[in-house]
Amino acid sequence: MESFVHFDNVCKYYRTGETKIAAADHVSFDIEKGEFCVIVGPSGAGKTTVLNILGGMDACDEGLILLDGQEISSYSQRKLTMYRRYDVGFVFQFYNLVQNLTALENVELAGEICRDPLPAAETLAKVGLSERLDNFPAQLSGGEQQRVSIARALAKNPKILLCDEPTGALDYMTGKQVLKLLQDTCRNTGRTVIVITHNTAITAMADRVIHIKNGRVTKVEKNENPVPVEGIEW
Amino acid sequence: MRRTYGKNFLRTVKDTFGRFAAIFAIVALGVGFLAGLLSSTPDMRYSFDKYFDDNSMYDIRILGDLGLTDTDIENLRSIEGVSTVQPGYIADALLTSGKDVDYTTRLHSLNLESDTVLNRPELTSGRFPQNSNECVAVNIPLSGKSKLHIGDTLSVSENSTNSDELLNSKTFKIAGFADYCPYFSAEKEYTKIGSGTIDAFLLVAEESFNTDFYTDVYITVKDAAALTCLTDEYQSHIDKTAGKINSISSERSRLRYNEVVSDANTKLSDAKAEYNDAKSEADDKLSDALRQLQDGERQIFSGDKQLSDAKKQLDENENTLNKNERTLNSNESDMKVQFADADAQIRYVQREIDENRETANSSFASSQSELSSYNLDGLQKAQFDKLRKLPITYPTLPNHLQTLSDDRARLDKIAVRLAEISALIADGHAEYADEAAGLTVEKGTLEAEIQNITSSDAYKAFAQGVGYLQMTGAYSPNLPPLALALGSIDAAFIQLDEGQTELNAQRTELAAKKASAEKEISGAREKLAFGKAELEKANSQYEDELEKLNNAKITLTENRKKYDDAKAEADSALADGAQQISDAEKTISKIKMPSWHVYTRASSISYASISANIEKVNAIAKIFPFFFFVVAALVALTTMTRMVEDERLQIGTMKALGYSRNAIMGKYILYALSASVLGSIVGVVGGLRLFPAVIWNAYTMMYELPRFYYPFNWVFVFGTSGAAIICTLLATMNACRATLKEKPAQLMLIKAPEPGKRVLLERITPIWKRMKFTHKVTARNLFRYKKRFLMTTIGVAGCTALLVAGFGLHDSFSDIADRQFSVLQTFDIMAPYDSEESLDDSELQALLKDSDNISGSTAVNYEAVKVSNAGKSLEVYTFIPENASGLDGFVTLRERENGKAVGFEEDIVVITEKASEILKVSVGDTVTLTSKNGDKGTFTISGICENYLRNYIYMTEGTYNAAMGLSAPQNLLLVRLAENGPASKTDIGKSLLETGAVSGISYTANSKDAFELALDKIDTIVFVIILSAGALAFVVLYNLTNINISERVKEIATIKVLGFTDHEVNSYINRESLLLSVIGTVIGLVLGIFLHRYIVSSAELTSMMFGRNVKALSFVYSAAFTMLFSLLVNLIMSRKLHRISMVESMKAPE
Repeated sequence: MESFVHFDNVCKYYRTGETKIAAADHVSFDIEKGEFCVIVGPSGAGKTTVLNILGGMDACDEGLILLDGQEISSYSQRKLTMYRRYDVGFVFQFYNLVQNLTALENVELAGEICRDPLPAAETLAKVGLSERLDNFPAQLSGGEQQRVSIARALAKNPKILLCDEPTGALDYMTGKQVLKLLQDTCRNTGRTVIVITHNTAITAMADRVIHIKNGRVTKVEKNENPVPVEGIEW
Repeated sequence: MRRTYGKNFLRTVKDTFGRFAAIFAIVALGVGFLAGLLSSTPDMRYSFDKYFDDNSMYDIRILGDLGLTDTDIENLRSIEGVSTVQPGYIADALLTSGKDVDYTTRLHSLNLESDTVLNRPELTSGRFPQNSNECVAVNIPLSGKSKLHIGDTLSVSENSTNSDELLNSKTFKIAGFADYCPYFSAEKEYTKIGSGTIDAFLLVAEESFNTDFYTDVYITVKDAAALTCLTDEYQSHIDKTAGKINSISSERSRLRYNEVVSDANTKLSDAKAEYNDAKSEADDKLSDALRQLQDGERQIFSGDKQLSDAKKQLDENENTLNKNERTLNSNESDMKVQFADADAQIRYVQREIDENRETANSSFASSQSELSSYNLDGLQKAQFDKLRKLPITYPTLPNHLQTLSDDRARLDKIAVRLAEISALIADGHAEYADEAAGLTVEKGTLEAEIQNITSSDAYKAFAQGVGYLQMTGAYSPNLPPLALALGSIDAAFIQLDEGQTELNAQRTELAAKKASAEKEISGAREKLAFGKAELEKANSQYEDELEKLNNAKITLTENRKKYDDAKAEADSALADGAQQISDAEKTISKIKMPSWHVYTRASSISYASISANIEKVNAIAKIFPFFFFVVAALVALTTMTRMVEDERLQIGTMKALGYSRNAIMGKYILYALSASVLGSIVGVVGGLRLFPAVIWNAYTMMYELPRFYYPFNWVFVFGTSGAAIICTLLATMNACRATLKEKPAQLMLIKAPEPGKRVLLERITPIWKRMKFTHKVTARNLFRYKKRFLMTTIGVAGCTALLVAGFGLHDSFSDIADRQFSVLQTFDIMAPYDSEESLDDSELQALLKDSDNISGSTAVNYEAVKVSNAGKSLEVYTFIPENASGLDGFVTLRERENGKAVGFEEDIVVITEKASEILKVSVGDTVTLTSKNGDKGTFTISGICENYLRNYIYMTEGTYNAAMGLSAPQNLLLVRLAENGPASKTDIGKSLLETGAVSGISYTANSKDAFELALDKIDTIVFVIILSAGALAFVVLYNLTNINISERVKEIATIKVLGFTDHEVNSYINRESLLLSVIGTVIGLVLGIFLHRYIVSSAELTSMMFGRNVKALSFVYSAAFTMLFSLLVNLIMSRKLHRISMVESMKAPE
């Protein structure tokens, strides 16, 4: 059986003058459907490149990427936009909420553009924000904002949820809550969640951990017994 | 500067190149526009001043009514302040080209020999005239007339008046063309000849003129060249000297008058003497001739009389002759008849005789034979013969015997009857009694008769004879009757012979008588014929005489005619002489006390025109650019402010790194400085070259423009660029200072995003709920980012307002010429005249009544007066018709705002709108009017009317009279031409001038053309303004949109990550900027009204009102332009949006 996400020798090069730097150097991995996957590596290892390529924000130069059987790597810009629109939910480090929309509206904004969105208020309730639907981002705490961000990603009913350092701007406790939310989402909805982080502590809660360094995949671990978030410390 | 610092700066410039370029462009536009427009009028003045100075243009010009003499010139030279005096000649003449084109021409004498030539012509082609029949034509922008060429010959036209005396030459060949500083405008100088305006100026040699006095004197004033002309400073300097010249002018003019009048009088008295001599000589000759003629007439008269007497005599004679002839003829015929009658009588008698003789002869023969039968013997015969002789003795005997026999027979019958009836009577038949009585009477009568006869001698003789015969025995009863019958025949023979004899005598007598009568008649005839011949002769003699007389008469008539002709000739020659003398007398008496007309350059149409136009340019160019500049500066400074605020993180970092305040600030100051200094340099260099040149060149069609100079005006250059640079720098420093006040830590912290806010729209739930999120975002964003909102709307509004003002200025100019000269003033010709009598000129009146060409005329009092109110005063022109209907159809008095007619009647005083504004008066206020002579009167304003050019006050003469106590005599004739009349307006103008009743002509169409042309040039400036405003709008919109996008890169990246398509991203962002543009535009449209109003009211000249309203279409244009630029900017920006990397979304908020 084909895996849900399939990276096969994916390369991405950046040219600065004469020199060619490989941000992703023959990256290959597979992620199964419904897995909670953590991609981990130090700064500059190529995590973000992988995330960009996987999230359809950038195209790879070489290699094959399949998602749910679709060949992302051969997508045009236009198709990539549609891919982002319908198949990917993105959670940013800095939440990237539209400041001028209420929590509910931010979620609805995402739902607006996809085919069968989840009800926004319900999604927000699921992330525990049923009381704060009408608050503007500035009126919410960081964790709450990130939860809105997650709700926004979920409301699109995406195939995968991509999270870029979701805890990076949050304090420890809040970070944990967010991670719990992500894990619960994965567990409860069977949605594939991919978290990118430099924080190796988080790997313990993942089903699969992909280590990246210098643009290469150094190790792919399959964690048969993921630890609940509460048990993780950093 | 340290390397990294420098690198950092350069990188910042590179990264924010759009912003840098925008500041650069905005500063360049603002500075260039302001400096350029501000220096355009000084540049224009400078260029003209240089041109005038280089060619030594006159400062003062004097025209004398009677010319100026050498003494005058000497006097002028001695006036303090006068530098050079150049006397010369001028004449206006109608010239005709070979192609029969008439040119109303002004000829100036050309002086090239002197060292200090004033008004030096600059040859542009050909050469200067070498003899008196050559000329140089002045380059002026010709309109209408066909162009002149070198080699064309112009000849003085026959219907050219007054120039004959002034000019030696009658033809002028064009030898070249020259620029001549007094004339360079398409607007025409006025003249009293031809069409009333000058078509061509010619420079000719002094020898071409034929006067012993100067007609044109040019003067330069000391130190005037150093001043820039077309300025008040120059004008007042010249006016001082002009005043001095004026002060000697009346004395000089009086001397000149005396000289001219005494010369003329001397000539006149000579002419009078000559006239008198000629007159007396002619009188003598004519009276001799007349006497001769009269003698001849008298002779002819007597000849006539004689002849007519003779004729009468002749006629009488002829009558007599004819009468005689007639008598003669009738006598002759009478005579002939008589003779014929007599002849016939004779012949008749003869025939009778002959017949009787015949009868007698036959009777004789039968009787003779009977007698013979009786054979009578001698005795018997004798007795028979005795009986036979009885009828000769008694001719009645036979008849008596017959009667006797008859009576006896009757008696017998009566006796028988009587016997019968006597018996009957006796028987008782009484009825026969009467018959018996009658018969008895008859018996008596008969018996008496018988008795009578028987008793007569003849019977007795007869009875005796018979008895004798019987006695002879030869008796037979038939013999007596036979004897008697023969006796009767014998008697008859005797009678016949007697008759024949008598007849013969008669015949002879008749023949004698006839001969004598015929002789008599032929004598008479002869006499008659002689008389006739005599008459004939007399007649022919008469005819000869008559012919002679008639010939004499013809000769006399001819002589009479000759005399009459000679007399008429002499009379007319004398009358001409007398007329000439009286004309000369009149002319002398008409010579008015002359005066000098001292003109400065401002009186030249060309100079006045350029002066007015520069003023107009100045009016427009001084206000608008400031607003332009303000908008530009505002945008530049806000842009810098935003930049500094945007880079707070970097500032914080640098501050944390230990860079000094100044070092940090230095980067931004350097940024602002380099952008604004570069912009200023480009703006100044470009603006100072571009704008003045564009405006200058706009006047190419209107003027022969001299070379254009761009003197570097330091005040404008440093003023404008300094202001722009300082504005930007101050803004930058202010922003930096505010930012730097914060601690580095604060700076480096993510600045808390401004809280989302509910906008008013959300309260309207039904709408809000239906809005898309993107629209909600737009709505919230608009109000959330106040700075951005304000900055954008102000920027856009400013540009839109500039556009509205620009288009509005165009509106203000576009139709005022048409309104002024086609709607408000509807007369076609203005002709001033000197006195009221001039208008009564019959020729003029006839011309005005020619309804084919002229549809109406009126006369008004037109003069400059001063109107004042509460310390403000203004020169206005009066328009005072004799009565209230005098303006009907010539001037439309109406209110501008609503077009409502302003009633005009007695006691109504109407003032033009601009005047009312300057004087700050409204209906019901009173103003004081001061006439040229200082008379004052107070008037209450009862109406304010629309008017654009000049200021007028309208009232009737009665109204004026009532307030001023003096009359306002009409002195300006207004003529309205018929539509499609056969004669052109210039023909009519010519005719008007030719009457001599009017002293000048000006055509409304020309004024309109000139006004329109001038406005057209202003329009060029307006066009520049609109273009610049458009350019500014574009740059500002670009800049603002650019800033807006740079500030939202992260948000844009995020929504891209969320899967927004490019199109959705574009509309998400553009909707906002378009909305901002729309809001800015709407505000700008409103602001534009005020800006336009302000600019117009500041730009308006005293004597000129512009249209006050912006047309709807201009709003549409302004809005459309702004929106178009906005869309264009968005289009450009969509590429930038497209290029925004989604990676930006990963970055930390700044």
